[in-house]
Amino acid sequence: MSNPLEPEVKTNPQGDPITSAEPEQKTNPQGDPITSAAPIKVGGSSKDPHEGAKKQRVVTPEYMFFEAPRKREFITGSEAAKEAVRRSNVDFSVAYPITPQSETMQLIGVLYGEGYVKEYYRGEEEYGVMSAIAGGSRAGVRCFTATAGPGTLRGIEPIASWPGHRLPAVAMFTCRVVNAPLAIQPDNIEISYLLNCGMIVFHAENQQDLFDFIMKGFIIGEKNDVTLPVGVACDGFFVTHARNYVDMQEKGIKLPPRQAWKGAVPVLDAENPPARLSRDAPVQKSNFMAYNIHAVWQQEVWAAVERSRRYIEQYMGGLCTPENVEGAEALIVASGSAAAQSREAIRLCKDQGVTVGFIKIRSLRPFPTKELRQLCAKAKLIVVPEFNYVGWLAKDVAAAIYGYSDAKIVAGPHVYGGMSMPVEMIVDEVIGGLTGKRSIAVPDSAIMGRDVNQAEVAHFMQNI
Amino acid sequence: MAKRFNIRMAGVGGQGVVTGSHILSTAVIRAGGESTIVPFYGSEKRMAPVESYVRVSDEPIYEIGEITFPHICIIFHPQVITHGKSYTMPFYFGLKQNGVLLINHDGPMKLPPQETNELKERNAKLYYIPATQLSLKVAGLDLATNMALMGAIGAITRLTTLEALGEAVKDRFLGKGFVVSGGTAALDSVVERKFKQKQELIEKNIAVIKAGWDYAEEHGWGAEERAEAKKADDLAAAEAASR
Amino acid sequence: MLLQGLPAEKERIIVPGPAGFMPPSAAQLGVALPPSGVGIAYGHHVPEDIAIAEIARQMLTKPNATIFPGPMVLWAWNEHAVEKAMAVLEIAAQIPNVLIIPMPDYRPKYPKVDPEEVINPNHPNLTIWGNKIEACIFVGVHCHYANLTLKMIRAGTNCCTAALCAEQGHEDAMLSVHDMDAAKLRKVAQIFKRVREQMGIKLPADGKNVRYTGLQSRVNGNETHINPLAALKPGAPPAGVHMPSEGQMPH
Repeated sequence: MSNPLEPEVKTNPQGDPITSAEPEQKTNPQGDPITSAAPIKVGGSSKDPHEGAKKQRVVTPEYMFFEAPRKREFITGSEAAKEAVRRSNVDFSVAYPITPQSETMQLIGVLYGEGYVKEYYRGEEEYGVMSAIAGGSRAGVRCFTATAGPGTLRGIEPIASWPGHRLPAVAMFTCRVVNAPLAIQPDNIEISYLLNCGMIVFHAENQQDLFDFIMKGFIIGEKNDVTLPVGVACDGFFVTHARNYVDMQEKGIKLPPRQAWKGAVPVLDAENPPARLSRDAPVQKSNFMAYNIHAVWQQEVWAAVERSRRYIEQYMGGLCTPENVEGAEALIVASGSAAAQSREAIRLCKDQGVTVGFIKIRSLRPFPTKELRQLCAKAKLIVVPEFNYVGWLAKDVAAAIYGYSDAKIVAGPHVYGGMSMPVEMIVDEVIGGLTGKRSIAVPDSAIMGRDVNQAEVAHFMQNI
Repeated sequence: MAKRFNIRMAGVGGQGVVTGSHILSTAVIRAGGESTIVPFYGSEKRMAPVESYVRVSDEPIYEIGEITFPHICIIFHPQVITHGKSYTMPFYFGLKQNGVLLINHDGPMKLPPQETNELKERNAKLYYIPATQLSLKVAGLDLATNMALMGAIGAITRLTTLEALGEAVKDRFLGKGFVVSGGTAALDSVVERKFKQKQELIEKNIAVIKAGWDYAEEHGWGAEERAEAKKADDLAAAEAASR
Repeated sequence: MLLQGLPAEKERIIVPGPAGFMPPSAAQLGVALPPSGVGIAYGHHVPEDIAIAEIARQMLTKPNATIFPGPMVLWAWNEHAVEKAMAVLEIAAQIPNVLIIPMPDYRPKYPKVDPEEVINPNHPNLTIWGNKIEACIFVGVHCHYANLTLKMIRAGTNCCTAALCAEQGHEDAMLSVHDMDAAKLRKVAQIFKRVREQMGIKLPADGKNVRYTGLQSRVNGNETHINPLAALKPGAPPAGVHMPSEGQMPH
């Protein structure tokens, strides 16, 4: 207890008395000096660093996406993500660095300094980040974060709980290797973990996709009958660190704010005491819970995934984009960077006189099952190139069109562990698949379909 | 048919492999083509392997990542060959049939018989250019080796012009918003100090590019391929006209 | 595809249960939410008025018809919520002997829910069973919890469910209409009145048509019925409480 008669002796965080006459250093709760400068004071100038943000004007999603004039810029994927967040009226963002995402969240910090994002801090690690995003989203504000590879897996417990809590946050995944030994290079195996969470998952081919999908993700995820998190994945480095052309609206406009009261669940009531740390008492198996409460809860999450289809069609022009499918000798189905490589492979095939159709998958959850059944009905050969070992996309394609197409489905080529995919590998699979000559370049390709060769199926099963 | 060249440049840290690729890529775009570059290196240090990949076309380029099967390989340093300082070995790994190898060396190198045979089977064109010597002679120092090589590849492929290469050099050293790594920034300041003035730096670099271009032209490199390509184009045009 | 009338019996997808131990959700059965002006009847898209008339027929003919109001019409969040609540009472006023059993929140009830007095999304079938309810309307319930409830009622009971939704509607209800603000809820009451009159169903002369539950009766002097329009007009808020004109928007 301090003696009220004695003057209080100020101490530093180590307990030593402060005797100097230096101005008091402000510290954060951890005792670190606060050095950040938001709002920034530049010399004697009174220029408000938040000036641009304050002048931003709210426009409708329809105007933002379809009518607003756009200007082309040559920027990296990380910069595209920053520009998307700038125009998305984001309230809250939490960062924890991991390659190749660090630059993205650093740039979101710049947006915070400029006032475009209302709250921002660095989390303890990804579990804390994803939990904080859950808190922010439950409280009713618009949340954004990004992570990659091992960070995705560290955060996956809270991430997997977002859909059940009906939290419409947007998370960007800049995919990289997760396996040991450590590597920071691209490999999109982490998407396979996200596909089964009940969240919406988009896969961006390039910087333009990243820009568009993030902004549209907020609007689609926040629709009342959806109210789900949206994961926007891209392949790290190829998209995040490389420059490409991105058509963007002016900086002076932004999306309408989140209207949390229009969500499928009530927001966390943190203002009326006692503050409720969880929205509800635990919903656990007991005599006052129906046996199927968790079952219908999951049904509801996936029903919401289904309901997002019409908004994906409305705002993104479809879950997949078919090109030259009619009359093609073979089809390539791909997402993300594999889609970019496939475009080149199709050009090389054309040089050899082979016409190949292309279906780019933009939305992995919901998956364009009906679309593929219709598009692949007459296909004879479908090649599914992927930047991972297991071929998660080929499995989804095969499951979707089983019984609706007699096509040979080649699950490959695959590259993984941080490799680029030479387009020649894709060409080999297409030509090999058409001529019957198996490519030696792709050991884990597989052939399924009507005339099943048991040996090849066994090979396929061993390799996926 | 689209004209397409995938160019793999291999050298060692400090030679300006990445800078060279930027200049070539910018020059191609300035000359009206399409181009992308992907640099690739580990922790920055002198004499460690560096690769940079330049894609060039007259159509949009979607492809990303490293180039595994190049049409053209440019070897900036003989150690790429003798010490295996590249990410793929041997140095011509994946070179396409009838591909081009442009090597910075004062004369033909003695390659192992097996490698010589493989290159023969691929009908590879081997061009040796004394790029470092040209840089020393024209600019007075070896740091413009990359410029000589870019000049030579420009002359061989005619993907760009001397003028556009010169403009690209100006962009690189005068342009705003060009982001370089810490190591490159340090080298830039060394180069700038040596040349006293930026103007001199740019002029000397452009002179080395021209020396490289002229060297390739004097030796008739690429003339045969250009003539064949022209013949094929003319034939296609005639066919199209007769139809 | 939009049907112009109700779907034929054999075409119906979402019908009163029990649908079984683990029936697939309506979304899994391919039922999608309709656009504005279109309702859902038994898994098919029909004009909104057709769906509302069918809700009226079910509520007027099935035993123990019940309205389940949720938090968005039970609490006076704002003026619009009060207006909506009054419109719900107008609907109730058209259904003889109707029960009104609230879903005041979504929290599990310890140690046990009183199924005759409240309905809870964690065990809604108990309330249906406990009161032998064969037709019901949900209104003012947040969509997620309404969907949980509707799925469980379809799985385990023979109750015909209807949703009057302020948002996009509910495919798991046998009958669903949406975009329900106060004006549209009053329109629902008018259609109920028309259907009731067409069916020749009379209301009690004293207007006391809402039947109390056991507890409701005990706290209201053992009365058995109440006139929803006469008795339940809201008074002024208690002193010191001011109702937000803005802030939480109407749902």
